[in-house]
Amino acid sequence: MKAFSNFHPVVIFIYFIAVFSVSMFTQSPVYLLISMTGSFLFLCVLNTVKISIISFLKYIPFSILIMILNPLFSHNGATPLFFINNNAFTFETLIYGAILGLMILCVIFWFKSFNIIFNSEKILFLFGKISPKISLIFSMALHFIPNFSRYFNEVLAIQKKLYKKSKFKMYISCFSAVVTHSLETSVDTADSMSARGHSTGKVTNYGRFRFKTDDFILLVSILILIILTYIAIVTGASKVSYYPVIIFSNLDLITFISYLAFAALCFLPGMYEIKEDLKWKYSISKI
Amino acid sequence: MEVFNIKNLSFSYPKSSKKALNNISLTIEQGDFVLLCGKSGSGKSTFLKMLKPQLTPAGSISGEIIFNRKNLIELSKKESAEKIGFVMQNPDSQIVTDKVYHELSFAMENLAYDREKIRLKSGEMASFFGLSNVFNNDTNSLSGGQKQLLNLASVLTLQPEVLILDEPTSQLDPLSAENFLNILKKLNRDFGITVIISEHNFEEIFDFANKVAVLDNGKVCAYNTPDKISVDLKNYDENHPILDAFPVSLRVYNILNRNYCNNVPLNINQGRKFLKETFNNNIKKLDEEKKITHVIKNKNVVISLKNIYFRYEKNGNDILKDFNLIVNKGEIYTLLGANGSGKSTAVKIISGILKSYHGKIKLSKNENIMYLPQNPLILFVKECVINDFELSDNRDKIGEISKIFGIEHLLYNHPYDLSGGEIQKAAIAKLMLFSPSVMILDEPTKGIDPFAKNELKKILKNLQKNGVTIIIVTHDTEFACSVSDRCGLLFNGNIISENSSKEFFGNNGFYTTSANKMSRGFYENAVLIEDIIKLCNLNGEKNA
Repeated sequence: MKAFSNFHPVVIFIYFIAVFSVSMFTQSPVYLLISMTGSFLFLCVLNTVKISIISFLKYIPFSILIMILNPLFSHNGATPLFFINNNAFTFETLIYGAILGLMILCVIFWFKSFNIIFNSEKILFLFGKISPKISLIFSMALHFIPNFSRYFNEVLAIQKKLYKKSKFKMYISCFSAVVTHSLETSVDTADSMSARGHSTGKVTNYGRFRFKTDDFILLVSILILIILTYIAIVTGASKVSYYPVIIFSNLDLITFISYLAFAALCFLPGMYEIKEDLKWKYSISKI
Repeated sequence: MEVFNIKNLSFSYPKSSKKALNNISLTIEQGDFVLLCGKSGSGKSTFLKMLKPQLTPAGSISGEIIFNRKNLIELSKKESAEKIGFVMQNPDSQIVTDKVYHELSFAMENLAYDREKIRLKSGEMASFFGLSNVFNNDTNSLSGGQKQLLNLASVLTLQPEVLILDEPTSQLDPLSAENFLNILKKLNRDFGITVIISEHNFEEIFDFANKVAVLDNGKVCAYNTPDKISVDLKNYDENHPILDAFPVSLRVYNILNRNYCNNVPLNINQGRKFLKETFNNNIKKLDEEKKITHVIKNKNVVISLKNIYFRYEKNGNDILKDFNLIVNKGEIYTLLGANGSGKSTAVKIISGILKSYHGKIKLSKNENIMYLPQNPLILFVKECVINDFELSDNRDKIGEISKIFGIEHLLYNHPYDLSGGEIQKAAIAKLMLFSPSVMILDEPTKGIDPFAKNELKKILKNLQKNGVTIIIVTHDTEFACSVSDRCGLLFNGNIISENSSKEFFGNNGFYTTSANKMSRGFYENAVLIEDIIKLCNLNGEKNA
């Protein structure tokens, strides 16, 4: 599974930027609903359907909260539903709140898939392209933090039995001992780095990713789809304004194409996973 | 061709009048396998670091080191990184990055190798070292042995001419250590890489090395081939402590004061041949009555564990299955077993750090159990040793106990400044301040030199005299055999064999001491080197 993660990190990163940008900056319910279904489908394929539904239900109250909170703080809009302390609770703000809630849900869901697809290796690779030093520091941190907490727990387990003074002081002492230990070992680490030629001059950044034909095809399709999507957004053809009253712009051809393109973009990884999955099952049945 | 030609090398650390290295002159040929031995503090690490310019500590240096006909100082950083590989003691602290493949490519990235070369070399190294199935894993998830192999592999990606290793196996269990040393042998034999290695327990590589150097107080007091090193060392000092660290066969040979003819036994097989051809071997065993030095008169059960089951994760495998153990008052009980057999888990359950999910643990009343973890450093959380001692209940006993343990001069040092043996002593001393009746030691001999081991032996015997019951977990068969009253072998979650230590090791075929391996078939139950010597003397030589 996770066939999508086999693409080149740069391509995957561009894909997520495209999807994130549309989800975050358009306030049109159509885009958001497309984005929401797309991200949900993708998550269902990455995890199981059950887990995805559970996590979806978990975030629903959060979205509803945002939907209700928005009218309490914002009083724009032409259609008041009722008044609280002489402040209007308007229909438009309620809808706008719902849109905000949906947007946050979208972002959270895309981020969940992003987390699964984009592991530390890919992040390091991307950073390494920009600056090998940052990439190395990041990698060292990923190695250091689990070590630190493991050692801290070891020390704590032993000291709990021996340390008779206050609990708080014990934690402080243990923490300082673990910091001392880390500093001590970092001397060794520094030695081991310079022994292997660190800071001798020019460096390369080794990533195990090759830019394949598939990556190129995917990149081009992403670019075409996102440009088609943005044409309607930039020209304002698909604009929805909420205040003072909700106005949808007319559904013209540009907008329609834009919706279609964005739908294709959002469903692309999920469909790709399903396709690869079926392919695998088919090849198994032949064996 | 000479790889290293060291001329009159002296070195002293800043603000120290003592010379850490004193007028060292020696040459190392290409393809040599040089074993460097010496007590801790004799200057082994300092000497090795002098051979790698990036690691040379600050201080005043005199003399010169010629590397490949070029002064070592003139070597560029890049050349030095490529040509001289260095592996240190602690497997954990040398690892820099979070993934195995990244660690393997780290050295090559630093020297700006191109992508294809990095891909090829890291793959090649992973295959050679058996790391291919963990290639994508986190470095934190590796075992100690794998980590050290990874460190070696990462250094080798640059294809160095010389490999310098500073006690590389001292933190590993015997099996991983053997595996590691075998790879070193292979690198030397098949690829002609010059190896310079310092070790405390060098029985495994002694006969393979073609030169042995003994360091004493910063001086090279002997430098010769393994079969001739004893004569040189004896000429320097008749009772040099390193003589006790040599392989069992050679020690027997030395103690029996043989003339140094051709066949000096350097490994167990040669030792067996030596015993067979030299002695009559009519007397098979010693009088048993005399041998049992410590008889437990009253069998008061201190700890009893019945049907203990334990696992770390709900769906994991049982680490302990139907585990039973009875320990009597005042005895030294040793638990042996392979890696992952559950030794450490068992003692953690006894000491109350872990809880079993099934079974009964009975402790007799008023028992105060103290646990010494594998890494004794984690007992210390303060700036100097005495501050840590003061955290205990019996402050008035600090003076007395530190005198017994001989650590008075260390009380005002930072715990991290002590050597492996010293920190071990200080840790036991700290636990003694809590006046325990049971002391549990997890791998107490890990990373300490043979002399510290002997001292530890004395300390434990002393504690036993004071009525402390001791439970030890160890891989070190020699240590277990000489110190304990009873031993148990843990396998697959329970104890499969348990006996007095002499019987235990006498009966075991593979899991036993080198002395027993050497004398098997000639003598019965000769598990210690002293036993062999006595039997040899009793039997007399064949032609005499």
